[in-house]
Amino acid sequence: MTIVAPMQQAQDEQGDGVAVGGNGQLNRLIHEDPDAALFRVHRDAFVSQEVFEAERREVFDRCWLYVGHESEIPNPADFLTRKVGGRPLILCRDSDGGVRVHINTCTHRGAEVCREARGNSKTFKCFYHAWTYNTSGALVGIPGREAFGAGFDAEERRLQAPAGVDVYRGFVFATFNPEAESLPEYLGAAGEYIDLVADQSEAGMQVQPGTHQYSIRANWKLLVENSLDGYHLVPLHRTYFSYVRATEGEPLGKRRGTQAKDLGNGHAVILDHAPWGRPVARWAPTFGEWAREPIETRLRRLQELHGEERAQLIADTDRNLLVFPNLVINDIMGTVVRTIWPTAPDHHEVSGWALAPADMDDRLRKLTLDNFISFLGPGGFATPDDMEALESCQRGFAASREVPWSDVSRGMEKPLGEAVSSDEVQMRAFWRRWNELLGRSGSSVAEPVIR
Amino acid sequence: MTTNAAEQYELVARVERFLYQEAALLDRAGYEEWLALFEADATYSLPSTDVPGAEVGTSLFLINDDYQRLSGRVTRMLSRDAHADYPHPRTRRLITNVRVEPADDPARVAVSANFVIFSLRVGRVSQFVGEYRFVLTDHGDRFTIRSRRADLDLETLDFGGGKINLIV
Repeated sequence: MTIVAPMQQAQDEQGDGVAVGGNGQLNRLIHEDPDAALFRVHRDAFVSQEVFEAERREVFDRCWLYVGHESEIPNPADFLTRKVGGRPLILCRDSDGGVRVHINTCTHRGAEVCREARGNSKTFKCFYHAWTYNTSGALVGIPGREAFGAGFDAEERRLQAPAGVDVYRGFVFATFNPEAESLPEYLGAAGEYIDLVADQSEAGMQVQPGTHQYSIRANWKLLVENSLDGYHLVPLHRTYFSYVRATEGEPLGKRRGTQAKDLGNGHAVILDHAPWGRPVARWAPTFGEWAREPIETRLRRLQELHGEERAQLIADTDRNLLVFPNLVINDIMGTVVRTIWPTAPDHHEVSGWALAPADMDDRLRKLTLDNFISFLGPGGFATPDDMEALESCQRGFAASREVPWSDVSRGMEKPLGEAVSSDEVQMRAFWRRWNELLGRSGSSVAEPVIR
Repeated sequence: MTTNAAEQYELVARVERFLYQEAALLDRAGYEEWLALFEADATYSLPSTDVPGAEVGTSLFLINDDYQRLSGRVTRMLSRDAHADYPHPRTRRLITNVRVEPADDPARVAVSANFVIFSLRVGRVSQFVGEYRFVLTDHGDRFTIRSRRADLDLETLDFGGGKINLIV
């Protein structure tokens, strides 16, 4: 695997002007001029109800979407319920220990067959007419079965599943698109970066209990951009870096060798060596002297297992990964798994989970969780300012007629593979794929005037 | 018995006064004075909304500050670079259903109280509702805070405006 070598930067940073593919009009929302090194996104992309609806059809109904992590349902009959792509889903383990995703609606009249957030149950019994399904989704109980006629086939009435369900290194995905490519094909080069997260521990990774469940009054794509934005770190998060500097008692080290990559298929990553500690496995003075030995032991173990170079990538490299369209895995001072679900053009819901090695002792686990929330999450020292910035952008978009374009051109003139995390090639990767998908839409939006 | 009842009544009244004064400090953004109420090894915590009552260290919290981080939080909130907090929201804290129990240490009391906080900023009203749990050290003439946690009843932070840009 060649993580450090430049990935095939999709389309080599060459767009072909305003209209990219498709015969609809929605794809006029991106203006790309490679000769002038300009890339602009029309602000209708953030405010239009029509775009919002087209995204549901062309993006969320077509792509592979993250459902949850295997570690959240460790035992047979464990379940959780979650809304994914607007659909109510059950993620569960069947009695044989297999991972299942069911659509949480009774095939009889539609009520949810499971109304709890999580738990363990061998059956899902609809509370309306008591149809009962087992963990594999089979319909195993119908009160008054004999009253249904000859054409009634209980096998057909099992709990339905998304068109595709697959697991990659513990991450469970589903798609509602029967024509979708396989999950490994879909993930492509992004899979290698998921590997670097999954390889943090030979004991596997665990989603920790406790979910950051919050929302932002801004378009969801602003959070996608923000999750991969190395440009904003220093100006926006001054208070966090001041805090790190004060607690570390030393000036920030120079950030070494950041990179930004277009991973193809809309996926992207930025890589960094940032001035904070990583419980896996980069010790920092703020962790306390006691933590030095256990963290360095973890590093040595990673070196034994994976070799020096790969261990360095796992332990010492910060990475912000976008799996198109809405899964973010930011492996920074903590490892956050974040999903972003649009609810309206100007509102989205966010779930954030902390991922940590399964074999950490209680003290190191506590340190990992504490380090995570120092920066991350809606009560951290940084995320609230990101949220404020996105909401402020959205308020600014009220003048999208007068100021129609946002600029995403940074670093566009750089040769392939030289982009750094403060460039915007990673966002352009997202936008090009988004544009390509919306370009298939037959709907039309008034063509924006380029000024 | 009457003495005990009178003492208990007086204790609850003092705790209530303390909570009201603390709320008033926060409502006028007197964060440094507020920080001075905390002991050197004090904690301030807020569990995630899906695990109310969670034990620190066993799950992801929204906030889990020791004194150092709490002090950093106050420094941050007083900075104009804390963009989510600046301009400060207008807040109004309502505290009620105050219950005072003995703590493990006879010099301390365990306090529970219900709260509602209205926060008003950029044209929006956010509401936080939940329960406080304090451990206070009783110095006779004043209390200091040993631990302070707020368990939110919100299912998600959406109702609270999405983020925690105030001291809950």
